[in-house]
Amino acid sequence: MNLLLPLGLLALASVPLIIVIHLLRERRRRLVVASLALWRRIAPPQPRDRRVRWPRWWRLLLHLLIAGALALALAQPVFAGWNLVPARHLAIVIDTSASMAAREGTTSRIAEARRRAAELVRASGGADRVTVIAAGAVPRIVAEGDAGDGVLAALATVEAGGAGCDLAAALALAEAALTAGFTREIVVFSDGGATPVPRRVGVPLRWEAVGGDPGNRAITHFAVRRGPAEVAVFAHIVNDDDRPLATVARLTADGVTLRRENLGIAPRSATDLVWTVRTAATTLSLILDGADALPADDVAYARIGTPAALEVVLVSPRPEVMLRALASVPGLTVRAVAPADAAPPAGSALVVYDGWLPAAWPDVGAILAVNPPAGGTLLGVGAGVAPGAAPVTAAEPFGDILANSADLGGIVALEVPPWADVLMRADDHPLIVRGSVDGRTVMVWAFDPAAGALATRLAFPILVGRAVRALVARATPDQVGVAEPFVITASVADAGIRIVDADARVVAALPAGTRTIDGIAAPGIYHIEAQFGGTWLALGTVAVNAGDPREARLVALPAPDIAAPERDVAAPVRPQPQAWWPWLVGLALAALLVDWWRVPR
Amino acid sequence: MMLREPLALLALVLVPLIVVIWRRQRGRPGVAALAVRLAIVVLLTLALARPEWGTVHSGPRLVVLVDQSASLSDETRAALAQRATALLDEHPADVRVLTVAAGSAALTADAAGQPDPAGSQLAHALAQARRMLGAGGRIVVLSDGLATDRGALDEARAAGLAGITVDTEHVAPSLEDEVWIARIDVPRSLREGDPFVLSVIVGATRATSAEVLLTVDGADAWRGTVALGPGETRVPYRGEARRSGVIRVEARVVPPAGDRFVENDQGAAVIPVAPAPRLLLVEGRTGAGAPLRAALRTLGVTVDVVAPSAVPAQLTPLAPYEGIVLIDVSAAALSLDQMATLREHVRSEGRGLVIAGGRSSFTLGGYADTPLEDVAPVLMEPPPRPERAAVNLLVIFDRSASMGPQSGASKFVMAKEAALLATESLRPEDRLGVLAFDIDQQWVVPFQSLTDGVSLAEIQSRIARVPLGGGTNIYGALEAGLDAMMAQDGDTRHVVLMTDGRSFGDQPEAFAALIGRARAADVTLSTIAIGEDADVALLADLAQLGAGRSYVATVPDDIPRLTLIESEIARSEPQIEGTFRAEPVAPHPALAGLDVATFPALDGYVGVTPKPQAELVLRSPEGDPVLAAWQYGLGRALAWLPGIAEPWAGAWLDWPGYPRFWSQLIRYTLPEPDSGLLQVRVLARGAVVTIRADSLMSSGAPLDLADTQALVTLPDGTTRTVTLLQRAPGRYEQEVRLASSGAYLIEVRQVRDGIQRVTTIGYVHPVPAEYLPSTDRGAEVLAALSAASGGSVLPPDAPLLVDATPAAAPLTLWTWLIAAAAALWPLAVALQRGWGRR
Repeated sequence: MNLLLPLGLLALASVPLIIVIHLLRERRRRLVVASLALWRRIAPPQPRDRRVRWPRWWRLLLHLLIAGALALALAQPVFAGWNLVPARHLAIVIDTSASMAAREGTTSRIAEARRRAAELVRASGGADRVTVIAAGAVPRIVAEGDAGDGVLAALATVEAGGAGCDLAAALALAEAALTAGFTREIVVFSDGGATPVPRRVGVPLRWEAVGGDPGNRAITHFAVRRGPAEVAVFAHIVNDDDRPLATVARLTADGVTLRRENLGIAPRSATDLVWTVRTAATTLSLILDGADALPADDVAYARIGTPAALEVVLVSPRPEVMLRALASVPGLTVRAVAPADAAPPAGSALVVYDGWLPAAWPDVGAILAVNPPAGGTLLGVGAGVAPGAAPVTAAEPFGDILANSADLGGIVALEVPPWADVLMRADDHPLIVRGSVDGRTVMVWAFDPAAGALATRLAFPILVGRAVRALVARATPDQVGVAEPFVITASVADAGIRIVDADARVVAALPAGTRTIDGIAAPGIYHIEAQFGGTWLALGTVAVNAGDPREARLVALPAPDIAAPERDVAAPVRPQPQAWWPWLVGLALAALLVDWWRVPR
Repeated sequence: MMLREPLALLALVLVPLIVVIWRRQRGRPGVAALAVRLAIVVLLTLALARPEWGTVHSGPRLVVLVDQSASLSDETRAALAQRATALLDEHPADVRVLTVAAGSAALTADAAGQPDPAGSQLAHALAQARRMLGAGGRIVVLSDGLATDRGALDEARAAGLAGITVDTEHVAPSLEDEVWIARIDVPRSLREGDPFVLSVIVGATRATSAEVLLTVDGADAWRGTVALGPGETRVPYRGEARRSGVIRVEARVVPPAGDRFVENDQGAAVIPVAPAPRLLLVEGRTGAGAPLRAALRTLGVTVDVVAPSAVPAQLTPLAPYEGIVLIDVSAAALSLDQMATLREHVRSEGRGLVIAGGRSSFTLGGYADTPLEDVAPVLMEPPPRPERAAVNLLVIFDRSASMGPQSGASKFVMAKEAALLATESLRPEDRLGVLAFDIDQQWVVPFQSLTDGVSLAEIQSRIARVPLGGGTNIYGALEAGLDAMMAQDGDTRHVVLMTDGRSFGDQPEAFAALIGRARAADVTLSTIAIGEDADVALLADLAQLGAGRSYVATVPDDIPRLTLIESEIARSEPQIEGTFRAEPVAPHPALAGLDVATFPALDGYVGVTPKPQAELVLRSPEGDPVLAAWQYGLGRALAWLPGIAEPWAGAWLDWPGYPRFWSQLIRYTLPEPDSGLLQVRVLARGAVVTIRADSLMSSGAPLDLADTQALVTLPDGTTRTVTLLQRAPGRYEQEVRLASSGAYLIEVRQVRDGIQRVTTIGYVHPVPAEYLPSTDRGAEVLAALSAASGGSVLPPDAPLLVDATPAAAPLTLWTWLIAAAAALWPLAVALQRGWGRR
């Protein structure tokens, strides 16, 4: 036995106090009466009555027992005893793919899963632990702790949405989250169809199937393509039902219906819709009239991209070559400045340094450093390299622009920074590298376009265009799935981020420097804004859709074949320290009751 | 505050029970005693409910990421796993362990559950760890830092924002003796029949030797033992693209003993081969292009030969030709529409144009101020010379009766007009002679400078007054004129003969001898045949003998213009003759692999000036352009000033490099072969790739609702058919899981309304990056992760769990409640025994 708080035994100081109290005469109430004659006639207690009177020493012992029990409880004794009931650690994995949002009867699959998971939590003992994992495309731990109200409250927040359930990652997360020293088990609530699926897990696994076989219709693909004068629209609509589908598909822009199409789709079949429309709207939506078990995928949104004009600052002592090439890139406004005047405004989209570099990277989103000079502090640049005609190997976005380095002149020996990847090289000479420095995207060209023949080639403006697009790529994607994470590619190092829906309501506010948005929960059009210097600036617009071919089919599938042990082979059965103070307190309470019941005075 | 055992509060039912017992007791203790009793019961009951005050950090405090990837040796991986397992056993509540491998999983002793070592997904593991911790806590990474996924730095940054620090400990990777195929460098694309050179890059960690085997399209192409140094060794191979399609190249190295990874002992590459180009040769003279035509056909190039008059004047008929070669073609032989079409064929259509020199080309061909000058990389201005000698120009025109007025403009009037124009095109120091002839010759203007002798006005008056004559004696006129010209001083002595007649009785040999004498004196002769009845063939021969140009003026109105051309040509001295060797200016792709020092000598060229944006590839010893090239719009144009054969490149006809030289020059101008309206790409995401086809109609609009199939040929030669489904306007795609690395062929066939399109591409599925030694510096990567999250770099074998930062524990109240109850108990005993009674 060990005492966790030996100082608690100081409470035993009450023992001698209680003994003293008992040794002193019990004080009785003194009554003044006229005569004692009547009291002399009272018969003395019969022997049998004595049995109901506890001897004083018993009372003393009882009192000391209570004092001792309380003192020992304060000392917190623990014994390395055996679990009477081994503590469990239960990992509850709930499939949060979009199909789980399907309504069947009066409830939805996810609600049913939550209800059954809550029953498991409530049935757990006080020493048990529970981990709840929401298994979507990117599984995450929702709650972990003792089986109590906190876990139940977190369980209630689990919602379905987003395509796919990465069961392999979810079970890996669950297995890693389970605490050694507990009897471990994973329970999965799912309607099946999750992928990828692991071949085995190392702890017992129980599959709780959810859902039946409701029909569904869904817009699984909705895409647009802007042409010179018109917008091409494509949609793929699935009827996953045993009955034929008759509905109307409405194509709208800013709430105005552009097209109506009466659809008749055979059972378990699909159809494609193509339109060409003229519209100045920046977003389109497609709506299927009617209702089904999963209404979220009956509407789809798309953003019609319109490249915004970008301001580019060119800093160079000899800007002619780069200026001409940048001017040929659509959507760019180029301003050339001499190095002495180089102070690009914060928040500029792109700064191009040609043959010159500042002492520190400026606070801009993207930087293109062309022909960096030697001796600077930002890059390690050595002496020039003979161009030769070595074959050029390049990765995206440059691909096969240049066949060999004969077109290049003024190649410098660039020491590849640790933050950069080589995108183009000729033999062992890096020609183009790109990386991220403190939130800025930086690309370096280790050659002088004006020195060789490159500037005279058609490849040059193409090279510049691709570099610009890679550096100032649209800050947000055009279209993502519900709950699908996406990355903000703009420089947002010190900016707060917020997500605003089409009704200008702030859906989420994220801390400064956030670059990855973990997903948006509901379909719709959303604007991503960043706060620069107190002003909210638009970074981009994202269309979020629930429709996905993986989730259109709602029929619940059986459990996948995953090998798992029948019992937790690593579970203890090993000694667990037992705290005894509750028992001691209970003993004291019981003794108190006995004392007050059996010993009236 | 929260109650961990709220059910314990049920014990509060004792409170009313105690009150009932107290009320029923005779001689019961006082109210104070009751109150103390109740207080003790309540305190102990609350204690049993285990109240706690404050937040509870009930999750782990530390997640350890253990690298289990193949870049670490088995011993290192086992040691790391053991270290993490020991920590987990010691602190099961506070620590979690995840592996860094291909995917992220729990560390397990189960052999069947071991992580896939073919990857180091550090970013994925950091993301999992971050989700496991939520907010606050610590991640420790035990790894070599050679990640095979991207985004680790972003994940570390996100962890830092969530209050999670990432500490890292670098573990050295294990690659002692490794040989691998790093890559195969191949040409970006080829044409059928092209020779090519590829390089197999073999990497080695130390000096050794190994056997390398190369197969091309499944057939053994080369094998040999190669000495390898530490680093990369290049093993070249020369081949030929014998057919169009995609060439699959596979290389394998047989490493020495001790090599760890068999996965990196092979590599692959694909080379798209377009069909041989189709070229259009335009001959300025019939047969002029014969040497070039023969040379190109030996290389399998499809060549069509036409005369200038047959050059299409619209773009559509030229569409089948990817390149056009003009061989000594005069601008006068082409209409304005034809020249404009040639220009747009390059500029707008992106095709190639080679202009080969000769005496009727460039400046000598009157390209100045025509669309041909627009498209050429040179200006029709002779190269500047310090001092230009005076020009001697003799105009011999026919005044026979047949030159008189018939219908429309009189040929005789036009001829005189031409002579008048010639007087205006010369400089004052130049010398002019005008000879009119019929049966006899009449010197209208004996040779004189325009400033000396008879005034210009008088010269022009004399020309205007020349009367019509009788018959035609071409030989006599030529003899008189050439003799007079040979007596003149000056480097430039040029004769222009205009006639509409025929010379009967004169033998060709006599003309040849006559002109030969003149040529020996550097006198040149051009001819203008007036009308269809003229002896065009004779005049063309005379011009050729005379190293000049021949024209046919089909209408009299052409006569002055042609004459003016000739006089301006004579004035500008564009023809530069003399034996020389071309000198290279700078390495150029058009001459890649050719040694300029082996080029035969040349005997002359047309003098021009390069345009500022053009590249000078070869030059003469005087610095004049010999070969120039430039990008014109979407296409390329190239100017070769000496010509393809005689008179200036005669020695080249016997040169063995002649076919290759011209093939390379022409191919340089050709557009890159592409798949046209059906573009196919492969987008890779690990083992899953997306085959994507984007299809347009000829109008540029997307092609929708087409039946699209992809036939995939695997590295082992087997095939699979995949249906590409439409996913966006004009876009069709499908995901495919590729089981192995290597070279794949993907042929996409698309059918719509009975029209089929086919595009074939090659795709090389790479060997997992885990097995390719990396140039990354893993320690620096790990240090960057720590810095981004506010963590630190740990020394080797540092303790991973630092108790100095214990998790914040909630305040447990039950001890205080029990203490209060224990303090009240003696008071309860005292009150029960009557203390406090009076």
